[in-house]
Amino acid sequence: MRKPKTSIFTRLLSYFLLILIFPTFSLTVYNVIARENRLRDDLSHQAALRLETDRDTIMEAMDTYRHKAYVISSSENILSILEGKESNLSDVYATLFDVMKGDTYLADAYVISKDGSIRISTSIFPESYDIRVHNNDREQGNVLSEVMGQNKDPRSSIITLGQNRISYRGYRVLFSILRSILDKNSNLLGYTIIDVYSEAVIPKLKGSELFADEILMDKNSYLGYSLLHTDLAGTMDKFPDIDDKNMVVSKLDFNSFSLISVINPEPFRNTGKTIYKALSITLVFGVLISVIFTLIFSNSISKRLNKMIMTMRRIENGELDLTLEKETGITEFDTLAGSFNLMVGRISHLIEARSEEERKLREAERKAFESQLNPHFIFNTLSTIKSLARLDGEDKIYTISVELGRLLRSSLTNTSPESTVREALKLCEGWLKIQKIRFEDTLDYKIDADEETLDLTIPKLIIQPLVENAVIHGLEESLSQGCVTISVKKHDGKLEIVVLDDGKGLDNPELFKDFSKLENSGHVGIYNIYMRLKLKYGDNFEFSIQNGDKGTISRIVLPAEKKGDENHE
Amino acid sequence: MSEQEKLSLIIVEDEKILLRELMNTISWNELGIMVTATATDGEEGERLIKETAPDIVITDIKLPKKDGLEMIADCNLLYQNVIVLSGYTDFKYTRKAIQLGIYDYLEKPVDDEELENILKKLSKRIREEHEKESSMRTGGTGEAIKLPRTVNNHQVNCVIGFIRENYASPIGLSDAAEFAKLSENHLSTLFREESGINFLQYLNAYRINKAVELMKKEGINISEIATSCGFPTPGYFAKIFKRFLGQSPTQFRDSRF
Repeated sequence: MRKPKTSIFTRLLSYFLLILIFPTFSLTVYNVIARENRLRDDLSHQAALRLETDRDTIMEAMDTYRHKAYVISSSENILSILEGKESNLSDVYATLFDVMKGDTYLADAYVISKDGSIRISTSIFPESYDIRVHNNDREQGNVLSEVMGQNKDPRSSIITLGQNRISYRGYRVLFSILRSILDKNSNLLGYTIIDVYSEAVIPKLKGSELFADEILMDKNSYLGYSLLHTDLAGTMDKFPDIDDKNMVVSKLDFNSFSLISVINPEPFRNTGKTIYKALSITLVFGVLISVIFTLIFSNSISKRLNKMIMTMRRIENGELDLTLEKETGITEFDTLAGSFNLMVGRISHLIEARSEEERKLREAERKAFESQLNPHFIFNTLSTIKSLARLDGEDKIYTISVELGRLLRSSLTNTSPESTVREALKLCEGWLKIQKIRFEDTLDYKIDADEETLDLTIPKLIIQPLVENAVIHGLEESLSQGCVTISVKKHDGKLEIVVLDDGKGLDNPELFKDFSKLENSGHVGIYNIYMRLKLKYGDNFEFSIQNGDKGTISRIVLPAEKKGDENHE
Repeated sequence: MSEQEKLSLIIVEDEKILLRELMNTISWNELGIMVTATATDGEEGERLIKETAPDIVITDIKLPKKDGLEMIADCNLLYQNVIVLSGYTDFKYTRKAIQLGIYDYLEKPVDDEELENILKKLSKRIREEHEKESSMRTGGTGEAIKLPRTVNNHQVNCVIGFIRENYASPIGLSDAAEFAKLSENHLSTLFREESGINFLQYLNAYRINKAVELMKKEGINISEIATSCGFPTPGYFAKIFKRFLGQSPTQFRDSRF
């Protein structure tokens, strides 16, 4: 199971986008679901309020004109003229105009005798009210024809909606009020009709700015009259809006009328659209800002991280005096840096203590050496011994002085922690040559190194202690003929160093199973090799010492490195 | 071994026992090398080198009067033909010698086997160079030695130009390197790669061509020719002349003119 790798940038960006999109999305959903209903509720509430006002206005107008009809119907002058008595016609008109207060652009009043012979009006008497012409023709669709057609004899006023009837002066009749005129014996004399024009009511209505339409409906006749659209009047099928689902419809009943308002929510939806627009702008800006913030954050983080990584790499490569910056401004990083620094500090302290110890030891040795003998003098002396031996044919003395010079020089002047395989083998060979002379040829050695391994780099002094170990522990004690073999080979990018002897083998092979326990044993040299390899290669090496078929086999496997190789990134 | 050309070698070493040891115990004969002279101080060494133009010089670094590296530089000798023996405290000089491009160095006490191995390799190279030199003979006297006048490298061409201008003066690789603004080591390698011969060979060959031109004129003796062509001594001139043209200058003049 591998976790997919993502960069800090992508992660941050997705979190930011999630944070951004979630509320926006829910707001949008909420808006879609709830807004429509709320809009409807709001609108119908407002509609109801205005409708009430408008109803009051209409009722008031109706009452006013009903009263006027009553006044006219009960006026002495009108009665007497309808009863056929002599009367002054101008008085009759005066009464009529007085009642109508002269506002004939809002309403006209007509008086007609029951046989139609007498017709008085504030304007030109409309033909449709002429009983003689139409008699009981209901098709006229006006208040009079309705009463006549049903042979009613109403005692109270009847109010009917005017259809698309236009008055003589060009006004649209909103409703008509009819009142029977009765004599003292309640005999029908005629009718008073007041045509109220839309101008009397409509300008006073409050709903026009909110409503798509406002319809006054007669519940008896199911005829409607649009108060906002001057050409709409008639049966209800002419008002398709009322049933439309997209419309908000409120209804208010009074007397035999209903006042219906229709609201087109479309204009209010536009505010919804602006909300969507605002949302999408927010979304776009949000995404932009998220990207910018992510860039800033991830940059600030990765910049610090990269800096830390760079420093860590350098520390890895041995610059142990470096520390990670602890004032990054991010607590976790500071903690991390703190712990890391502490760790590096401990490691470098350990190394320092160790190398200090080694250095002190070597310094002490060197000083002890130098205080008695100046190295220049020693080498010159060796050189002279060597020359004399050579001149005298003393080959063993010659060999010992040359190899001793080499070994001394290596320990005194070579401070590099590494050497090539060639140099290391040369020193081993020198040491073995001297030992061979010392043991008078009971010791033999073989060095078998692949040509390609000679220029590889290895830590200094890892082969020689193994060789010494083989000679001293393996052979010296056995006192018989012995042979040490050093073999250096390269395969699969690894360098394999094997030191083999044919001595008596290890007394206690178990001891070398775990080198880390050798620190306080008699095998400090082996322990030192192990620790140096561990410090340099971590776990990337093999080291074993065990008994072979005959004698001891020491084996080291290292990564094959050339000088300069380890400085690569 | 006998048909092999004997190479000449000079040892400059102030430790007389070491000097004696090297003289007596290195199998010079087998190596085909003849130790033509020894010196125990830098000035004497310089004089001997200038006089006999040895193929190889083995020198100590610390020497009385003049140190080994200075001596080599003053002889205008190629470092490539020098083996350095260094003592314990000569570490800094040794490093400098390596940078200058000496053939190899050995630390005292000297491992004679190593020295012999080094000498073997070096003399093989020098012999190849000498073969190359003799193969450049034209047999004529117009241009006695065939030399490339230009190569495909601007810097080397500059150096060839420098040789043409200054062959009569005691110039060496260091002067040419300074002129071409290259390190001595780099110039040396570059020159050999581009022209097929090393700097000193080119310089000497050019000088000999000039010397042959002068031989045509009456009344100029060999040592005057040697000096006016930039050779430090008539002996040196004679030695180089023979290496390139197979005859001594006098023989050459007598046979041709």
